[in-house]
Amino acid sequence: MTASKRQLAMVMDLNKCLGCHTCSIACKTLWSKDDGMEYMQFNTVNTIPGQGTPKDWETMGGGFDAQGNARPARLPSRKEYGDAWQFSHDELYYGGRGNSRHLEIKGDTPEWGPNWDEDQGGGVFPNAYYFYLPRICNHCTHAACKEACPRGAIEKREEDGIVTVNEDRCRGYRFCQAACPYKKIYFNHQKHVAQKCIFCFPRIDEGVAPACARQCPGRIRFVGYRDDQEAPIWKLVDKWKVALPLHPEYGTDPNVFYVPPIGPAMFDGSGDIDESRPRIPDEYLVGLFGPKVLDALATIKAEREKKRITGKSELMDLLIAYEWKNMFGGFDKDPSKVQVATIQWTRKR
Amino acid sequence: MKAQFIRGVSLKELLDPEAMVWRGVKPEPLLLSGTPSALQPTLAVRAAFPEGTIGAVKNVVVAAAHNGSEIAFRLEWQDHSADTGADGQDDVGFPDGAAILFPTRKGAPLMTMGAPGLPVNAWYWRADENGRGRHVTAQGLGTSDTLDRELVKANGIYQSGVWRVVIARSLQTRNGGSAAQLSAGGKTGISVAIWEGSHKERAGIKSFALGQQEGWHELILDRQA
Amino acid sequence: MSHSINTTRRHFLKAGAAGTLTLGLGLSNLQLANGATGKLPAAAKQYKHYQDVYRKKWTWDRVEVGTHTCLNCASGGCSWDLYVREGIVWREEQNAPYTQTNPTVPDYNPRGCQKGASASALYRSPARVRYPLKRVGARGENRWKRISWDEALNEVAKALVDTLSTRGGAGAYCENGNNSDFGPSWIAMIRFFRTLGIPVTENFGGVGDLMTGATLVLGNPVPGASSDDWFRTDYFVNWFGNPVSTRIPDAHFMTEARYRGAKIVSVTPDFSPSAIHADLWINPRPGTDAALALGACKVIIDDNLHDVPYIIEQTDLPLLVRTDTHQFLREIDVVAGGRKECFAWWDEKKRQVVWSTSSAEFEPAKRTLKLGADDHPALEPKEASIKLLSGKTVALRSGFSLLRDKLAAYDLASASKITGVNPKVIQRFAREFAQAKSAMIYAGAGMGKILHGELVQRATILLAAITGNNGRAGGGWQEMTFWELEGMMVSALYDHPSDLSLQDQAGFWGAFAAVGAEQAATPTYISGSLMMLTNGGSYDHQMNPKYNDPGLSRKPEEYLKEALAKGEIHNYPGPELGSPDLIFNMFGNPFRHNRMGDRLADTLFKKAKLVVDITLRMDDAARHSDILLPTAAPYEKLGFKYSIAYPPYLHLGDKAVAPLGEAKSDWEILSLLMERVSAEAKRRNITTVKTYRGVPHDLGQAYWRFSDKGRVGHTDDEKWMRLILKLSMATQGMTLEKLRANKGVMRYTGVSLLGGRMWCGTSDYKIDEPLIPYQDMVVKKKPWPTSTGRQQFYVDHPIYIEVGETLPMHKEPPMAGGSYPLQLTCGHTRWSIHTIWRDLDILLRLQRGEPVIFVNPGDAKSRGLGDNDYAAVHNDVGEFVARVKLTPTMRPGQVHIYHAWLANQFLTGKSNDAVCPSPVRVTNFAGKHGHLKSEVGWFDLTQNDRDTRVDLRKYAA
Repeated sequence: MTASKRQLAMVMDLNKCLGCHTCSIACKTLWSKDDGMEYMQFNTVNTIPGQGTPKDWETMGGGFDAQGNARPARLPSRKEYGDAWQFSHDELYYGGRGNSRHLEIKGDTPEWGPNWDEDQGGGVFPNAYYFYLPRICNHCTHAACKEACPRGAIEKREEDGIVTVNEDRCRGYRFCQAACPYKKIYFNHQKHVAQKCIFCFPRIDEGVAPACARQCPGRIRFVGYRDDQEAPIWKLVDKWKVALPLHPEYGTDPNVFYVPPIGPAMFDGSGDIDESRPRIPDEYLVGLFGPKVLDALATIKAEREKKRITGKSELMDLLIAYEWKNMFGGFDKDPSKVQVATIQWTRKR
Repeated sequence: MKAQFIRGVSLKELLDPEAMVWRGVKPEPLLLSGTPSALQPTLAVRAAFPEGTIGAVKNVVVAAAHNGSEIAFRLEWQDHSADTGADGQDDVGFPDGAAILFPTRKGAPLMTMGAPGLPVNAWYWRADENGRGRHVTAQGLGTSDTLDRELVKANGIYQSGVWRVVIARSLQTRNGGSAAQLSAGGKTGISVAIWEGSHKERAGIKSFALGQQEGWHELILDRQA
Repeated sequence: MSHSINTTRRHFLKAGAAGTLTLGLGLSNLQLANGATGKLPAAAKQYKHYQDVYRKKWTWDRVEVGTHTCLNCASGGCSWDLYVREGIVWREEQNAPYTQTNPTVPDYNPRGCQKGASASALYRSPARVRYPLKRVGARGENRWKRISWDEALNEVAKALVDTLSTRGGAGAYCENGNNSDFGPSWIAMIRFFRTLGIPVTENFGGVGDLMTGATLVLGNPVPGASSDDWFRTDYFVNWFGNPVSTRIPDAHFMTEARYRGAKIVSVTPDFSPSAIHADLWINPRPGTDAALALGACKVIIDDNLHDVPYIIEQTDLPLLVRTDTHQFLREIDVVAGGRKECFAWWDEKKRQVVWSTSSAEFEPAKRTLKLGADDHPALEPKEASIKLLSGKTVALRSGFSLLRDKLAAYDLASASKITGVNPKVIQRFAREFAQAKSAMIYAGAGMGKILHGELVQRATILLAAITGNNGRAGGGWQEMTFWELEGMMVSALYDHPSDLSLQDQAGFWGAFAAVGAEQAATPTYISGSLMMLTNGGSYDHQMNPKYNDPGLSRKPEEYLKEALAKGEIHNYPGPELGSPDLIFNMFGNPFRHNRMGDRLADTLFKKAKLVVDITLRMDDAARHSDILLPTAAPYEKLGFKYSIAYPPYLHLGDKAVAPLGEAKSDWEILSLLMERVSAEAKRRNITTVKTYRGVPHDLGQAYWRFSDKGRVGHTDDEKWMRLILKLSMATQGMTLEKLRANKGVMRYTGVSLLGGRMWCGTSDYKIDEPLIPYQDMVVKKKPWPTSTGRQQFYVDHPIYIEVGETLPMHKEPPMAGGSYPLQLTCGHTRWSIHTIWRDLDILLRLQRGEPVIFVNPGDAKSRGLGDNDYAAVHNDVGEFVARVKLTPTMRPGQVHIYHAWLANQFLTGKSNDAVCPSPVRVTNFAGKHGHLKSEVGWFDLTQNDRDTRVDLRKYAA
């Protein structure tokens, strides 16, 4: 594998995610409005337990096994991601058919969408549980997509590890799409190329945080270099170890990390509070983040109590993020101040 | 394999697989084999297509004709389904395709799709771009580059389980060494590849004709008469 | 790892399918395209063109700074930058201009949500009305033809003059959905209809947001603070609300308070999106929240955890109630010529009645909550009595002792039985609440949307009060509150505000006096909920005793009739307004926000000769209108965002781009219209017409008045903006230029003293402190704006005495809609501010694209319903159809739908509002009783829906 010189990363705090999808819309209005991109959600947010986007992606394979071999995988269809449903607004509002029409989804009745199982969750009432899981491309250090492409059409930037599909080299073979165990690569059926989250590299190049991070009202996303010990990413991932990769067993060394969620207390059979075990089962979180998640949860609880009693905790202060600007590891420039004319276009030959 | 000279035939006529003119050209059957899984450039591709799973199409019948300035190849093979692209097979389909491959100079290897300094030239048709072909050059596995989408013309008709596809180009082009330059009376190495879309064949996953001359078959062009 | 290849000839012979391979290949030095080396082969062309394509996507022509106001969003302002390309807003992004209030609290950044981020898409969506349209075909068909502004305005002006000259203002009315700005749009509507004497509906009560319980107890229907105060709490109780979905820009203060060590509690019957981030979720049976709160109060009092000095000083609980009439003891009962609004406590040292200096009619100079050194009010006086003027001696009890009696019904076992909450949980909750340094009850607006919501509000405020939390930093009972902008009020309600200045206090207050007089004679507002009840076609269902409190001794409609006879109801739209010739609709969708709103098509709208909708978009209301006048969207006109205090900042909505199509700002539309009205009146020699209350005025002078003596022209929206800034205490020092230089956002600079009604109860505003409500009362000891001058839990209006609600209590949710096994609850969706974004494609794709209900799997299974099946939800009132989502988060016996789907998004064209009979809360008809004054936005009939009883059956589409 090739390491880039430095690696940008993101941490998402699942105790603060509101499931509002401002991140999804921020990304969509910026990058994926063009032909063939209508169904693409580079950023997704799913209620879990749930089947996710694409549907049941965790069963589709990809990534690497423990020996480092490429695991077999299958391609998801557009329906499994969720088509960009078209609606009958014009007919409804201007078609002159009054109340006999309602706002319809044109074509086939959908069976899945990018947020189909919103707020459904798992468990049994009253001990149901869920939380929101936002996902973007993980810009993996050992990117399965990059290693899968027979044309070398996936590149990892040396300066910051951002993984991009070179859409000029891409021939639409879609091996990358199957190989990605997170199923975060989309296929453009009009342009016949793979497309995916670009970590907003045009913004990064100008010192501006990715749109999904900067626009998040829940203030859940931290951005920065893995090796920057002054900034939150390193502290959360490496120092405090409360931010963990999703499905580390997929073998790709992802660079998006999650602070695991803690839900409210459970009820026992009589309806009394049962604090002997957590509402979100440990096994469930271990299945997502690996066994280290239990240490992370313990650390968070201990530091929260410490903050409550003494008022002091570096970890809690990081997660509270008193000053929002400091969440972005130096990528805190105001995008409106970027001089569009200074963006250099290059055509390297 | 011979490319028969037919005086005065138009490119338009040649591009019609059912044109009368093809009845007078002797076709040649070619055996096809799947590209080796071990030769695929990445582990993920090999994991997706283990040895023995590549090369659904086993045979193709080829007829070749030229008119002194353009040359056309008529391919015919059996295919139980016409696969016209990504929208098929629940959106994870791949198009049926065919290509004629040439070395651009002596020594250009077939198995690796050329090598640095030794390009090969492919004239590539795919069912989702019917009518137009891609003119491609490559200097090794994974390096293919589309020179243009104008020079190669291609037309395919699917009927009753059979594809009949004509792929044509002018004998000479201005691409210099990147493309094969052919001439009446000359000879060249040649190969044919077929991609079976319903088997998700694409990229290096294909059937191809392996010949006697370091993998190539030989094509001899009739003199102009 | 290695990518070696076995390249021997033998290998290929083995691998070849046909076995006819002969190869001599030297492939041992084969270099792969990628993988192990990570480099492309030398021969591969390098392209970076695609990167340029992405860079080019992120470009724009100009940025309009600090614009955009999400109309009608109760979270308050969020500041956005608009990125404009070729005259169109390409996309928006928050500009995060907020600075930390002080280093101990997180800053407000970035605010904004998915709705704000898709606003530009919304304003360009197919729903947007771009040109004046006129109905062709039958009303409701949705067949339109485009007309010119001239045609449209002339037709409407003519209709107005026709109606005003024949029927006066009573021949027309304006439906107002409250979806306006705090600027020229709202000013335009009020000035227009006020000048013409035509009533406008006010719908705070109509939508169900009006917290009459807060009005009763705190003298303020919108008590609240800035949201960074949430961070300072030690115990945050999110009661009946769902801030994770509905306070998106502010919810982080709650999740961050949790990291500070605060305990977060969520009280909701189902496991809601806000419960997921709580430490404790308490799930009372729907509608039993009062029992939970009162159960907790009993634990606290029995355990002696209540704050006695606070209760004595700040609440009415020490005040004395007559045991004969169950009314407060009043000075007028005892002293000849005594004061009515003057109440007493029993001094345990002096063993006598002492008149409370907090009372409303106490000498103004002496009014205070502060107790003297030798004042010793008894919380539970023994053997208190007094001799009345009549000569009779009557025993007296304090409110507190009556409360203790009342709480006996909410011992742990009983409270548990009512609520379904384990008694140990109630006890633990009560003790934690009482023992927290500061505890906050953040009341969701859902509290107003059940029949007995007023009781829930009173009970939960009680819980906050007896623990001394109202007025604590990070504590107390809170919901949203506003920064009052007097400049806006006076610009709308006074004819010539350009003459005013804050320096001329006499002139300023004189203007308000004039406004008061004019409003007394012809209130601009009528109650929207009463309009719907009286004239909208919902009367029979709303008044059906079967859907109401079974304990009422009279039929619900008797209470209304009695109140009307006594003149206790202000803003009442009588049946005389039931046949309008002319209906205007602005800022909303009455078919949607009214329960059973679909009936308007057969009542008021059917009777109208002309219905005019001044609207941004197509919706249910537009469909039932005759003329659509396209209004400018935010971004296309000037305005200020609702001055909600969560972020204590004024937000400018700037005009970034030209209005789409032929849209015009609301001010311009009504200004052009008014000019034509006066011209037409003059042409026809019509002078005197009457307001809907019979006050005469000269129609020919209407435009003169409307335009402030001609000083504010058709496109002078900006003048109103400047006047608001100039004349409001909260915006002193602000100018449009400074706002624009500051990303459109500036922190409020002061607090209004308007009318003595202080929305947050705090007149000392510190710019570097979170805003805490009620400081004037708990710190400065100024009396609360109630009759007793204290937080008032005892209500002695005759209706309250009759129905047994003198003190907070629990009442069972009614069988609204009939005897059906399931309870239909509702909540504000995260996906839209009311209907505005409900049909936007990019947001619908992140849902299921059509209305859904949430059903417990057991309830679904027994009805043969699977996930995504269509279910018909039905009761005696109506039926609607929606897709089912199965979820274990839903309580068995409860079915939930999020709000504001357009009726036309439902399969059968009926929305969930069609099944909600919204039974009338008879206490809403009380008035003329101290601070209990009937008035829109203060104390008004509230609509409700979350007690609705339904059943489900599978529906075959």
